[in-house]
Amino acid sequence: MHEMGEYDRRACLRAIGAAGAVGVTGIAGVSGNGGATNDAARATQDGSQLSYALQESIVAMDFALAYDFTTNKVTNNVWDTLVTYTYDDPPELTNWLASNVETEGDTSYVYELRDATFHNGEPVTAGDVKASFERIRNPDVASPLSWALENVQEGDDGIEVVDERTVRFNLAEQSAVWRYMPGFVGIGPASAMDEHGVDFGRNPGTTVGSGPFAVESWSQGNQIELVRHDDYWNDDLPMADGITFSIVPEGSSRVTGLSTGEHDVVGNLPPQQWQQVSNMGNARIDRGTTFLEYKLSMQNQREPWQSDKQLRQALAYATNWDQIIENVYFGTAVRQQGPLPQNMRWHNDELDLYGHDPERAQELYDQSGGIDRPIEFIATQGTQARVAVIVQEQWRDALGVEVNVNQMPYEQLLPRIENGEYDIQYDGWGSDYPDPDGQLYSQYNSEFWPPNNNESWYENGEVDDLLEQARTTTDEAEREELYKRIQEIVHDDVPAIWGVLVEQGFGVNESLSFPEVTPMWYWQDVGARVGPQ
Amino acid sequence: MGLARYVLRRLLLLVPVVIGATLLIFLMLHLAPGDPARLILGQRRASEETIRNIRQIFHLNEPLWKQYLLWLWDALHGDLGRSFTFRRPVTEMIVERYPITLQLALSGWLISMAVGIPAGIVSAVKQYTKVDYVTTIVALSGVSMPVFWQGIMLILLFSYFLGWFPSSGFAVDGTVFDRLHHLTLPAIALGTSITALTVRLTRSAMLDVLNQDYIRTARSKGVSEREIITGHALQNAFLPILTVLGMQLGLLLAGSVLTETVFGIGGLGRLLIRAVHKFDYPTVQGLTLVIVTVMVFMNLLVDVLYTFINPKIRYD
Repeated sequence: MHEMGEYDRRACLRAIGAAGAVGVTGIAGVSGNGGATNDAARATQDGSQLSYALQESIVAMDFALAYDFTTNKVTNNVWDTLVTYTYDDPPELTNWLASNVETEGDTSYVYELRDATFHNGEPVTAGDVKASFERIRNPDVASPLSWALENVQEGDDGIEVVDERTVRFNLAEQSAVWRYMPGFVGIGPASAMDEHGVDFGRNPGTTVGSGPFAVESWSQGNQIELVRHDDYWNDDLPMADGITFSIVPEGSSRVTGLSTGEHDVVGNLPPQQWQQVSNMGNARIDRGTTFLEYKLSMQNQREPWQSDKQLRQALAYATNWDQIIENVYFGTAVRQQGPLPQNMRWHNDELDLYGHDPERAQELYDQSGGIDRPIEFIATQGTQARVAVIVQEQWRDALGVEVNVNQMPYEQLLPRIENGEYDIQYDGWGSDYPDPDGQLYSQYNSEFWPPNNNESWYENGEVDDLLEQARTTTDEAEREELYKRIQEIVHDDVPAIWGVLVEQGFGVNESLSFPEVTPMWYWQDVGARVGPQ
Repeated sequence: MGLARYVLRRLLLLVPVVIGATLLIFLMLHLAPGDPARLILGQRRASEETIRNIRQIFHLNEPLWKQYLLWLWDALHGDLGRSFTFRRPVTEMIVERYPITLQLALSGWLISMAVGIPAGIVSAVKQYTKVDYVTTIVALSGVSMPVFWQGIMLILLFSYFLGWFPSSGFAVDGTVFDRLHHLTLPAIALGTSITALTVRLTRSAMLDVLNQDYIRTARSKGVSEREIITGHALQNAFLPILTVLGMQLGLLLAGSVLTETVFGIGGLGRLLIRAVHKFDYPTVQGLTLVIVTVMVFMNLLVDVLYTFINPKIRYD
């Protein structure tokens, strides 16, 4: 008969006590480092075979569909792009699969490829680059990334194979931001894309890339196993021999897995669990501020928002974002300093920001026309609704303004936004590239009203012109000046109340090294840079 | 009417049931506000061209009646369409995930039977004794605890503190031992949640039978208590138990959303919940078809099994 050891007995009693406590309080979680190490579950003890827990299934292993915060965590390690971003703060554009990039005239970009091979042993050629970009433009693929190639000339002339290792992109018009676009497009072999057609990378067994890891197996909804690409051109990568991505939807289960050593890296942790991970002892949170901003957008084509700037300003001063950061984001966000995230280049540091100032708010409100009806704040459940309720209280306390919080599911919210049927809503936006164009163009250009991303329905002809000018000129000094001016105007107009920049955090086993978390993390090969310290 | 004709008639009834259920789901999904093409893309940046292409690929620019008929026609040919989210054939995704759901469902169901039926019998035989009270309290506790809470408690105890079982995942390509290792906790959580009902039902069905005259007669004739319980009482009490067990298995085979979510198992339940969240209509419709079909077949199977348990039952 097995005799229960002293440790086991203690552990059992602790477990029963903890279970009881959790049951009584209804808190589904763990804290402290009281857990056992689940050796059986961990692949290796030296971190050479990583286990990475994701919140949900990836959409596909097809680079043409990789455009969300979960899928890209996996696919970025399988697909190499012509250019990528450094792990500096702020991240800089750098050559990757392209060894050299040159411009020809105002509208042509020539990329020379380095000596690299795909996972199937075929060399990476200019023909593969063309086929990959054409896949993004293929209507049957319906890639959500097709916007990135809108400026490439239509037809065969748009992407030219110059020779085996050189490819030229011909743009329809001069662009200051084209150089970022190849950072979103993975390069796959034309042969495999021809063979599998639209199903390339969507069905298990159809993925061939050139990145630091190759796909060994993929059970959709369960796990994805990546193994080292032995012929990878960069000798420093990947740092581990393999990664197994598991899908663990429940946040507390991911935290438990990190605690017991079943998982080495855990992503998509709810903010309230960051502290729990930091207290574990065997794990830490590696975090960084992103470009993902959240703001209170007013419907500026509707009265009183359209004509009453002082009312908009009064509400901005009446909003206490520190309270929101503490109570909604649990300290995992920072206050955004104006219309452009302060961690992006050419941020205008000279703006007189709308801090929390109830007296100034009252003063401006008295000068404004005021509002004699309740303000309708539309929100989905969760973060949006929590922010709405706090704002409702803040504005009532500061100005006596009444806010009706109208909660609804996303599928109902979307048409309300598209039709402009609201006073206020809380929306988020993050640029896909480290350039003010990515943040400002779609949010403040009047051609981008919903269903596009100008959700404050802002309209200012001067801003439209300046945005267009800053997007097309390639003179850096001129662009800086233009963007600072744009920020000045938009800040003064205050079509939205700029709120927070959220942080991205990864739970990481203490024994592992992890790269700097940059605002471009979701386009970077983060997984390939995790390994034994 | 012979058994074969009865089965055939029931199978034919499947057609209007499936059409009715899928049509209902189809209308509920499509009559909800919002442009499906936009919903597919979520809050991501997307060009008008992409949206046009998505409408084209998924026939979203066709009238509703035509969309449904197109789907039905393809479904009759084994093609349940492509998932909006994963852009893969729904049929393939269901076929891939079904074995996982099947293993989990059967494990939980077997646990429920193995524990619930004996406990219910003991509870009935020992009516109003301490054993009966304890069994009743345990059963009521089991039915009162939400399955996700049970799951988290099991993870806390057996994974976090004791480190005996993995906290999540399913060893899809693993050995039998690996699979059992991963399956133990979710199967217990799932099994416990339905065991309580099995216990209570078995107890009440057994009590009904044990109070019948023929049982008293058997006892007076000196038949042993064991034979009375297993040979006479249980066989007659089993019909209502079988009905509920069949329905329970049918529901489990449709996917166990909460258990799969807590334990990170990629079965049909998780696929369904993701599809609903992401407005993935073809996947929801495909899964509805599977769920309805499974439920109808389970009910049919239970009806057929009646004749084996009680040969007096005829389908004429």
